Amino acid sequence: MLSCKDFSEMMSRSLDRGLGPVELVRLRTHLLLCPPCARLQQQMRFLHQAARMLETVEASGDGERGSPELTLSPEAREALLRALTEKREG
Amino acid sequence: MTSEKVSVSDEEQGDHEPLSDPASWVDRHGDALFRYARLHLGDQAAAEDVVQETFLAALRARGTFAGLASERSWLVGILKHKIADSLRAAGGVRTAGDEGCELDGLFDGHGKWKARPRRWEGDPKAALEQKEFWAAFHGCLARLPGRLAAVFSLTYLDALGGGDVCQMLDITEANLWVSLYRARLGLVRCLEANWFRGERNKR
Repeated sequence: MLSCKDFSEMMSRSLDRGLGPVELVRLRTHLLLCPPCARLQQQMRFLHQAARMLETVEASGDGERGSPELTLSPEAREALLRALTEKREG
Repeated sequence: MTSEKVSVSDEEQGDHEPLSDPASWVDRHGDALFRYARLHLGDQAAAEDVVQETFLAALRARGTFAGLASERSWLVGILKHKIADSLRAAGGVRTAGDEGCELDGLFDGHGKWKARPRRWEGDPKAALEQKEFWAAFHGCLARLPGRLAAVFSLTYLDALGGGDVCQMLDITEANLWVSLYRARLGLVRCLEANWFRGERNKR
């Protein structure tokens, strides 16, 4: 018999490549009967959705600001500028 | 290097500007590219290297910039390739070990719940609109053990399909599923503790 842990692995896999029909029925049935697993399923789906948005959020430059480890250090900035100017002139 | 083959609609015509002076790229895009790279590589030095490589590649390729995409997305397109190269070169491992997760505490020896997921209050989708949420998300990714984070990032790095991740990190498909599973559980738990924690007092 499959455990909640087994079902949680199945949930994760379903996000990547889908499940076979038998697995799918088993998972759905279990989710109807098991509130904690149903909750995890929702949370994993939310995470999946968020992770897919990450690309867009990042690319639009809308990510958080002000967190020091998430901006270029002054040294790195300096090095980048130098590299760009040298290459351009060289 | 330009993968942007977006057709341009009339209304967009006015938005196109030529590529800006490369000397201004660092100020305009440096932090954003760095954050992106840092997120995927988990390591500051590696992220800085990749940003530099991106700028230099962009400098060489700037003749090919067609003006169809924004300068930013053109640079991000190049950056993705550089990140993929970097992860491949490093074998996908950015810090030692996959251990140190608290995942083992979730289920007992029979696979039954030991620590049930908590309910997330309100509409989590609203969180997606908030910058603070993304900061928390980044924080959680950064806390994930190295290999797990690499697998997770690469899986969602949109240029790659599922099969490539296995190749790039030299892992089996079974290993990929397990890593993604562990990464997801870790992230769910971390978001619960760091973002949706308000619920804790209400139960």
